[in-house]
Amino acid sequence: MIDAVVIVLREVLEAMLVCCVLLASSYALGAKRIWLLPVTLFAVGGALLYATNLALLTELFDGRGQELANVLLLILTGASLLFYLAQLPGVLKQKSSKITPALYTALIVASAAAMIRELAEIFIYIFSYGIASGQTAPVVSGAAIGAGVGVSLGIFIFFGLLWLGKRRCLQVSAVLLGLIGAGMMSQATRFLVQSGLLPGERILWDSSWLVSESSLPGELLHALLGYDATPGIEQLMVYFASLLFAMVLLRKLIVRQGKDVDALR
Amino acid sequence: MISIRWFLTLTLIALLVLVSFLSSLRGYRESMTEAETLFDLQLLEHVKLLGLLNPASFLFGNTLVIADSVITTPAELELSLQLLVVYQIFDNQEQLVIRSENSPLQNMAPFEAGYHHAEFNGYSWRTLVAQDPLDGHWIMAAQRNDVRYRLAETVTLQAVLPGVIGVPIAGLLIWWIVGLGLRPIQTLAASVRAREAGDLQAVELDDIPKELTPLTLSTNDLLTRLAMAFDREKRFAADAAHELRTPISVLKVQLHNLQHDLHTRQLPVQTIQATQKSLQELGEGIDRLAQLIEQILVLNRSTPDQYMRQFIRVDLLALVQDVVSNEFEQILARDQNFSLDGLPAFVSGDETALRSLIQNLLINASKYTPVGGQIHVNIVSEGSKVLLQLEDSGPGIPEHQYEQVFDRFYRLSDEHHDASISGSGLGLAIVKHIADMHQADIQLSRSLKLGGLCVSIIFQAYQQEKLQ
Repeated sequence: MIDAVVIVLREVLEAMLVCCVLLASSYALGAKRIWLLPVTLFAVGGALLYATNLALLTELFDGRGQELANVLLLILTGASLLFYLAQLPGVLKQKSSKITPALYTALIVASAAAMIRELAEIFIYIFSYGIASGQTAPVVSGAAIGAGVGVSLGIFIFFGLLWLGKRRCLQVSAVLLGLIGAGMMSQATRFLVQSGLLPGERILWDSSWLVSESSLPGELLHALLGYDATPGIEQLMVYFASLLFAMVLLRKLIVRQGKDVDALR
Repeated sequence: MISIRWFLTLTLIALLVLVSFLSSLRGYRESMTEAETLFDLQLLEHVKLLGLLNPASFLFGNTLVIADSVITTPAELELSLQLLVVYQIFDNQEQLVIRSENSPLQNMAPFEAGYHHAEFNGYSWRTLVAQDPLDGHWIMAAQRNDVRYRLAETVTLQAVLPGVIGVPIAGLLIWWIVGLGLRPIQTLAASVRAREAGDLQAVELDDIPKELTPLTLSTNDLLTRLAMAFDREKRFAADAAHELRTPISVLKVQLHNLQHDLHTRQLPVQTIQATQKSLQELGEGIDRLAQLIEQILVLNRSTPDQYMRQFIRVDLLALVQDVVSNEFEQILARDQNFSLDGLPAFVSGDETALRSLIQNLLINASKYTPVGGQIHVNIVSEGSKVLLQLEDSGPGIPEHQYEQVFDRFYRLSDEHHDASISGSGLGLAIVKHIADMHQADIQLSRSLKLGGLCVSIIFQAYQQEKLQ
């Protein structure tokens, strides 16, 4: 049961972090909640499609299909998060703070892509380790506990961000989204290196003695910063390049907020 | 802003989930450790029992294999397999003398007293090794780790599951209870919303929770100030208009006297003519002022917020005929052709206000329609609606100004509208107010028949039961 709790909690926490921070940010912008409906449909549908066709997916591209699908979803999430950040100053510029269709699309794509991967992993785990191996009760209850704890933490993150007030909420969530986006891009690079599509074997360091990836702090750092105990040089380069890009966008956002203090009132 | 109900429900459920699930996890881990101890104790008891056997009585060199013979039913076999304990007994020379059927031929654990972990028969085992202090023979007993774990988990899950299943039920209850707790706010809002527009009485403070009392008190305070302000405004407008009538009447009398005096004085003809012209213009100015004051009075009376609604059954056709007969002089003076179509159509409304509405429309139409033009009124009753339509052959109103013409003191000024036509810019504002008061829909368009303005007002038809 503990295994189920840990695995599901890790997946749910990653997805909830992206979705809750985006939700808080969109709330601060005054967006409607309607985008949650397509996200739910895409996420559940996509995850079911992914999980039920896993065997077929794995066989594609010389057995590298699953890695490539993960890379695609990670890049989709990371890129839409950075795109969302890039749109924010423009949205604030309009006095009416009208949410553009591009911004809604970024919200939907980022959340749905983040959820598809995590939900699919949960489905696969529950079906193969739980129901198929006769361990239904412990695995399902463990999954329920993990999901419950993950969603609850997400709810607190959401209300915590809203509690900061619109202006500060937008800034803090932009920082978080930048970090998460950079983490996703770095993970995608790692998958590409692992599948041999990108060159590079050198591991820069091994910090698993300090923070193990499978420990709770390690899981949290992984979800928030894309923490990797044994990163490669390409991974690090992509991470810092994405982070730099996010920070430039963040600065633009803060400058825009400073110029137009009343934009959000 | 997120709703209080959602905030309370979500955070309370999240808190409940975190507290109950994390304590369940802690309980689970504690129970699993306790279960481990229990199974270890069971293993110890087994070893103690095996210690009662005297290995010296067995034939050395031949290992005795003991099969369970007391198991009689399949259920017992299942239980035995689950709690399976395998054992080996070695002599003090570490030679195997007795072993259970499932145990291997080699020693399961090192010859070292205490608990160990071992791998054999394709499973992971928990072993206990003990040495007899008298003759030094070794006893080893083992249990499969996976069986121990599964059994412990089955027992522990029974304690965890109700908590997991209970959370969604608790969530629904929280949603319902929070809704129940917030109901007084809805009740308060509904009681304020349900009031008549002119009802500015204080909200009753009975049955209002302590937390809402400050809000209710400040609302009541606001209502009192609002009522006073309305009252002041109403009095001011009425008093001002009323007080202005008297000096205007005096002005008119004096103007009349002045005109009379002019004829009795011996003055040159030119002076008389010039003075008479000035006096005529003065008279027209005074008339306009009087009309403006009358209109302000009507507008003040017809403001929906302050109007005491006492609607009666009114026949629009008869009312139009009556208004036309009063204003016919003006239409005739401008040589305009007036026509009226329709059958008696009844609406529920205030007769004075409706008269003012028709009068304003008619005067407006006559004023802006050129000399010799046409004015047509049409009344159609259809189902629950009554349509009053007034068309003219005047210049009409540009479409983009349809909204603005209902504003107070708004006057059209373009090449088609003669700026010299006297008017206060209040006529259509009054019409709109009266239409709103009667919940009638007012629309402006271009008249297809006459080419000028077409004003259509759709009233609700009079219904006996509605008024009761």
